[in-house]
Amino acid sequence: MNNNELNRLWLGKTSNPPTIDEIRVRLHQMKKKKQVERFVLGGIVILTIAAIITIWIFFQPTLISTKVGIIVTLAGMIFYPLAYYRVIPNLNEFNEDSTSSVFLEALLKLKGREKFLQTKVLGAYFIMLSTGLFLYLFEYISKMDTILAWLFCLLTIAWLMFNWFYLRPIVVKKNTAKLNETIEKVKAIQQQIELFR
Amino acid sequence: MFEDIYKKYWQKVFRLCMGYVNDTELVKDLAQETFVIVWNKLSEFRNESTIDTWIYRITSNTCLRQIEQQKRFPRDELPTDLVIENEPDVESKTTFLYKCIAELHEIDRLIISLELENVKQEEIASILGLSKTNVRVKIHRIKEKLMEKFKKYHE
Repeated sequence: MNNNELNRLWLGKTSNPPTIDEIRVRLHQMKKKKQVERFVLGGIVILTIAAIITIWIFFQPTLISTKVGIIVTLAGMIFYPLAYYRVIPNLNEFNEDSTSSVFLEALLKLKGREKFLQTKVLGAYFIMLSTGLFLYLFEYISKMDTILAWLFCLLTIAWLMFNWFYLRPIVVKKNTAKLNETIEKVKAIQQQIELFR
Repeated sequence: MFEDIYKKYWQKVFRLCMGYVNDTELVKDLAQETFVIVWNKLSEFRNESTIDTWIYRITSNTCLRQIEQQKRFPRDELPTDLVIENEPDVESKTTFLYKCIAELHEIDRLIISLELENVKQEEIASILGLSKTNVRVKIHRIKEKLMEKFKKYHE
């Protein structure tokens, strides 16, 4: 076995290329997916604003806490998808045609941003929803009988605690486990580059 | 213009991906993904590097990005729908070569695949962001390792 034979063996492997239409379809699907994401995000923002206006008009809240609660809850609903859209760059912004060392740096940065999103931003999202819900319910709870009000308060607090201490950690753990694994792998490849830079 | 690029580079991109993952189905997906990016970014290509370097960079980075997708790459034991232009004995040697390459470290896989694709060492350095001297040293070591494996394979 010599260099030329290695080359010959390497070049001996070929494959029938798919038709160019397959590439065209895939590119089209990718662009369409981006458009759908923008459309969904726009839809969420519009629906949220519509919901705020509707609740305001039909339920006529009297306390300022209720109004603030509605706004905070719905702002939380907009906040997460908006943050996601701002934090994760679209395909054109990603450096796929840079050197691999620069690309890995960008990939690591992206994964760091995703982790921030899945932990800190998700935490803020839960806090906003919980606070908003509590403020919103305050007016209605205050008008109830004492026992019923306490019961309602306890149930709401139990629900919020279930979200914060059970649901949120599960979601965060699930999302960050894969991200951490990817980050470790990227760092391992970066080390391979560092050794031979 | 894209059609010409596609015709000229499909086999090269295919082999580079094959050296990286050694899984025919996944390779087709990776190669297609590479050309989707090439098509999408073609209008941004400014001749700052040669078109070869540009396409190999995208291919290498598409391969590297696979680390997001799966834990371990499945390996092809036998080629499935490949067009083999050689004798059966050569075919098994080729399969063995790709298997050996896919078992190397990620960057080593890319270096040797580009070298065997007859890409200049200077260009390999520019694709991966390494120094030319280190690429030369690395190629020498990887080839030694491959020769050693082939020696054992023949025994």
